[in-house]
Amino acid sequence: MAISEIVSDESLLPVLGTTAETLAQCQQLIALLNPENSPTDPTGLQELSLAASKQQKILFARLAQLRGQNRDAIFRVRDTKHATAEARQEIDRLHLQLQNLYYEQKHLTGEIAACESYDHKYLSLPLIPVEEFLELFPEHRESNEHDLMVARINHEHAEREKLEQARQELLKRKQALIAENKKRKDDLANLDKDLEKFIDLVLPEAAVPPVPPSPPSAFPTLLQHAKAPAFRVNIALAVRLQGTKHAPTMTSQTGDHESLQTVTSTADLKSITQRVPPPETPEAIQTRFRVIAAFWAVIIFLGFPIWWKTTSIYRAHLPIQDMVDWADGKACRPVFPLEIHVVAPAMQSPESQHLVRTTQHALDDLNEFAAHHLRLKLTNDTDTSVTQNIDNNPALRADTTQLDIFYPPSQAPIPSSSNPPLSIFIAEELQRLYSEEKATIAYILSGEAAGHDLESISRRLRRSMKYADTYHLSFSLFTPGSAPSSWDIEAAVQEYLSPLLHAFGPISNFTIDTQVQLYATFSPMAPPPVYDQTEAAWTLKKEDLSAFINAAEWPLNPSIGNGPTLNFILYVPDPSQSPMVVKENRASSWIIPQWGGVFLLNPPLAQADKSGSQANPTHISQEVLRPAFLTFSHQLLTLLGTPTTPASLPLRLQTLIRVRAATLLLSASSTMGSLARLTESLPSIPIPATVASSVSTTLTHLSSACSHLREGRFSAALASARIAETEAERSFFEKSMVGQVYFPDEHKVAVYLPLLGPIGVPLLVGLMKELKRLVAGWKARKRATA
Amino acid sequence: MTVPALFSLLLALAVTLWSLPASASSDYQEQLFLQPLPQSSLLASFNFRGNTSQQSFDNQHFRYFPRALGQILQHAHTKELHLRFTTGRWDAESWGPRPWNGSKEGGTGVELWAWIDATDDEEAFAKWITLTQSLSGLFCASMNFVDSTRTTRPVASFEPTGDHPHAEGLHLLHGTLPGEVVCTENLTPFLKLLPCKGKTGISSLFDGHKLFDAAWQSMSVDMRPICPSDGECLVQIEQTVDMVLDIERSKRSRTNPIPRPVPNEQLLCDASKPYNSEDTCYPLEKASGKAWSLQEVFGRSLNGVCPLAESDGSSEQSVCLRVPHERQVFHSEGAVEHKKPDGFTRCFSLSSSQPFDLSIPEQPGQVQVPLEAPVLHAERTIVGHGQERGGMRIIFGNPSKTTSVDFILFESLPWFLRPYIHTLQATITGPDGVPREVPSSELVTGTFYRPAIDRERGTQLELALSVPAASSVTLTYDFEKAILRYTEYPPDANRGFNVAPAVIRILNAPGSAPVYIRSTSLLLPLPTPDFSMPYNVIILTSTVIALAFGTVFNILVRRIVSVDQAAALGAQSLKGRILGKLVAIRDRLRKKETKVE
Repeated sequence: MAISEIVSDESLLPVLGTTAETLAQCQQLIALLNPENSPTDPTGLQELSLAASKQQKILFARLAQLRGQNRDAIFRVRDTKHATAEARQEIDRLHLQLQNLYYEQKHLTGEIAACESYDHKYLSLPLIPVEEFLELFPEHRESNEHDLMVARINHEHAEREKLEQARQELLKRKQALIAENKKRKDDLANLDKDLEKFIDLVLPEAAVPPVPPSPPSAFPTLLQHAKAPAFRVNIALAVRLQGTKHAPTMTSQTGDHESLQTVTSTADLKSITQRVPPPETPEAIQTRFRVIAAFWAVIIFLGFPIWWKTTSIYRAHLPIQDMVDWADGKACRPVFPLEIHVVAPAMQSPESQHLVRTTQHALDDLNEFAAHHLRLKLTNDTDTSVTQNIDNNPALRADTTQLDIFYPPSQAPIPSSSNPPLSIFIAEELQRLYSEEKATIAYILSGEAAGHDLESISRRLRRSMKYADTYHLSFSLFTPGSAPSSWDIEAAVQEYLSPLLHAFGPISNFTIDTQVQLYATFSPMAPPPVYDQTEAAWTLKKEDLSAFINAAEWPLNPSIGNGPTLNFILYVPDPSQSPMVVKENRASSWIIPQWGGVFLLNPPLAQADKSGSQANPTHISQEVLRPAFLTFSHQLLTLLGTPTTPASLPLRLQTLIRVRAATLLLSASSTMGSLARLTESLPSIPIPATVASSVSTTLTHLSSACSHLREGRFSAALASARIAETEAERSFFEKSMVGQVYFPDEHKVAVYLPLLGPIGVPLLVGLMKELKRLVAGWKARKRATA
Repeated sequence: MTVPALFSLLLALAVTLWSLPASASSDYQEQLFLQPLPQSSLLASFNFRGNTSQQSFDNQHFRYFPRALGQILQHAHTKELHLRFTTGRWDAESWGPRPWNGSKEGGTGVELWAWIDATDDEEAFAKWITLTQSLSGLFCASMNFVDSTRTTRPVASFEPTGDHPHAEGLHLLHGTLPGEVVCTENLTPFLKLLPCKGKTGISSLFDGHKLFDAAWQSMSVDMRPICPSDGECLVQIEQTVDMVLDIERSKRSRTNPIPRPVPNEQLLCDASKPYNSEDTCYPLEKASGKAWSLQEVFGRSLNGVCPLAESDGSSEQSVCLRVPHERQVFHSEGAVEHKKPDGFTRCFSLSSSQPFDLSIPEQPGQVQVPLEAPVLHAERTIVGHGQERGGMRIIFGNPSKTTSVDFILFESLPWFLRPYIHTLQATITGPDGVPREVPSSELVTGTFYRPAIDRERGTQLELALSVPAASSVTLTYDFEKAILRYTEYPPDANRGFNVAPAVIRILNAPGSAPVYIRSTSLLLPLPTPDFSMPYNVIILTSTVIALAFGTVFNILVRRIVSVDQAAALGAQSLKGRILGKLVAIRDRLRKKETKVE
């Protein structure tokens, strides 16, 4: 097939032509260059080459032309392709539209078919046939089918409404009939009751022997009553029969639907009445009651006693009332009758008796505090030496309990005078001697001191230690350096302190220990002493004295054993800070209330051998210690609560005995009161038998102390009061009384709640149900009997 | 070990301690003995001794004797008291024999023994309890826990060191608290007992930080009466503190105490070890010894002399140092050095006013102070496994080639460790290294055994043993672990229970000082319960009982009807009526919904 046949497009024909021309040109060039006919001579060659180049140029031009045409052809092809694609797209779009239209058409056809075949309700309405309707309404003959149908339906509607009205009327009638029926039924029930009454009355009548034709007047009325109801019964029955006859007719009229409903409601009623179980047998109720009663019996008669027994605590009986009485001061009113022996060797017996009597009167007049009174007693003790003196200066001897009074003979009492000046003088003297004691005792007993310096007494009592059997006295030598490291303590104690302690023997015992502590520095918190130029001494401020003791570092631990420790500190300041005094009053000692005393000892400084600096002596002799120990003994007296007056030490000690006895008596009594209050306020603490015995010992000794006081045996009173106090403290601080407080019953319940809860609830509920049942039964019985 | 070396050591110790009653005439002495030990350690032995006459002691006039302790001893009728606080372990293999021949140290924790004057055992025990309670308060230690289970009455292990004119009424009681941690709060009361209170004298070196940082330290308080034949009786209190400080560790600066490793190039390695290589090194000790000074090691310098100790001539040389005489020692001004003829000891008499310091520079190529080998090695361990049984193994090694060692082993075991003495077995390993079993009676020459009573007293076992020359003896016995009651467990029950160290008293020639060795304390793991158990038991039991009860009660009390009957019955009750109302309301709601639809 030739190419011209394949390519028929006109636009391509020039291309083909150009191709052919190019081909020819190529063949021409080949022919020209054919080596067979190539010339041999150089000119020929040159010409040939010239011709060849010319031909070649032509060929190139042709080729360029061909290329351009080829390109144009390709562009044309491209354009054609583009046009083709657009056309195809258009065709596709149109095709799709066509398809859609097809679908639409199909759908619409379907819809139309559905509409045409739609089965409307009016078609199924049970209408009367067309012919019948036309007969009834001939005017509709001309109207079309649609109007006819509308007319037919309207007619049907009207007909139905008429029928519905008729049904409503019938229903009303039925309601009325039911109401009447019910009324009749009630009447019938009443008639039944009347009939029963009538029968009840008639039967006894029948039981009685044949009655005479003329019965007692009561009977005819009764019979009349009975007869009338009986008659009514028959009527009622007839009515009821009628009613029942009526009912079916009515239901048949109203329609099947109604009758069906009534039937189902009666069926419901029947099923409910069938499902209620039969009442419980009395045996079952009895059994349940017994079970619950048995459980509760176990709980009450076994569980509860065991719980009570195992958790109860022993509480010994305490005489609470007595204890409270003692605490309130009702049981004993301490009195302090002091017996004063009067010796008047220079007087005649009646004179002296008169003197004693008048003095006693004067004393009684002076005394304001009833609990403390002085009794004078005349004795003929001739041992006491009595000297006369012109001055009226009573001399109380410091070491005995003797008060010497010297008077001029002119003042000797005349038996006739009722108020001799001598008696008044003696009475005032005695009163003055005992005034502080009186004030102290009054303060202890009642908290107030009449006519005396209340402040000083309470201060003195605050400072003094609590009473104890044994006091430990601890004497310590403190120094911030290394000297002095020894002191003549044994001799000093023997010399300056032993007599005093011996005198205290009846009241308390004492142990003594001593120590030397070097390198005892002040606490870093304490303000250091300040050098005072005017005093030429290192001074401590009064308010800083409380920080003087370095409690953290100085080994001042209390002594082992019963009883408090009294610390007496002898402080020897460093040579660089010597002498050291208290700033305000240049004092060198002070008391620390209820703890002890401090004495600043500034010994003469010795020259140290090498550098010439001053040093403390390494040893402190007994003589140097003397002022310190005198101060210590004074501090000891104060700390033990000894009064400051009178001057006689034995008298002061006797006063101390009385004061101590009063204090102990009151403290033991108040302890008893506290114990009583404690045991009453904490019912969960146990009271062991030892406490009870301690309490009874305390009370016995308290009363014996009280009676001793009344009789003036103060030492015995003190001894009894001591025992009472010890026993009272022991009973109050009994260890086993503390333990139980921390385990109250609430905790035990909390621990066992997982057990008690699940068991207790069903038991309680069971109990409550049974009780309810019992109460209900009891009420019913009561109503039945009433 | 050479005989002169042994002599010299004994002499050194004699200078410090065994200056017996004859030299006890001075009222107060104090002495410090320093000796560098191998492995860059330094042994520092402090000794303070105060005397008071028996009469002033009885009259409670205290001067050198502390009042607080004196009153306790009088109150408890204690005639001789030994109290020890120890921590750490003495490394006998490198450090040699113990200071004071072990007589001034205790087992780990607190150890206390005392001779108490009482008419019978009960009274002695009551006084012992008083004593422990009071000491507990004085020393801030839990000695009040030394109850009857921790108290023993040793028969042969301890002898009184004082002179007791009325020895027949004395009762020895011994108690240990192996779990007690000794620390600063025990040192403070200890220092308060000293007359110079750590302010001057050698006690001024005490620093709680350094003392309780030591590898081993022991504090002791001994009180004993001394009655010389010619004079009046004395009461002596002796307090010692021994410690082995690691010089390197102690020299750390206080502001920057974090230890830092030695740089590699400064490490001196033992090339003879098979594993020695670039990255593995067994550090060798420097032959020249460490350089140190008191200031560096103790953190403070010695502050003069306690003036109370000054008066006597014998206490002039209160600081002694045991290094070879060739070694250079620098000391501060005012002190005088005295070299002792043994070639190793030098003592210093100090100036009272100036602080004292001594420093030893590093000095290569010198003679080492020879260390004596210990007389006996002892080691005690718990063996076995499981919660029910275990075993105890004690190994004694006699390093001597020629002489056998006789000693008494004293063990006080807690009651919850129940030993079976019939299982006591001995294995002896001779010089040939072959172990062979021997009947224990061959080695044990005497036994004193007091079995334990549960919760009342512990086991006390004293065995007199003999170990032949150059051999080691292994003693084993089995024991059973008791199960404790719930409340008897301590708060840290799973840590284990401390078993007190065994005390070994070596019996050598009569008349010489006793030698004591104490093993380390042991931890005994006991079966430990779950401590919430009682509450679980109460609650579980309660629930089970309540369930059972509820079932039985319901069966007995309930009326049994069929299901529909139950519904009908329920409808009559209040609950039933309420339910019925609810159902009606629900029905009405439903009806409404259907209507809406």
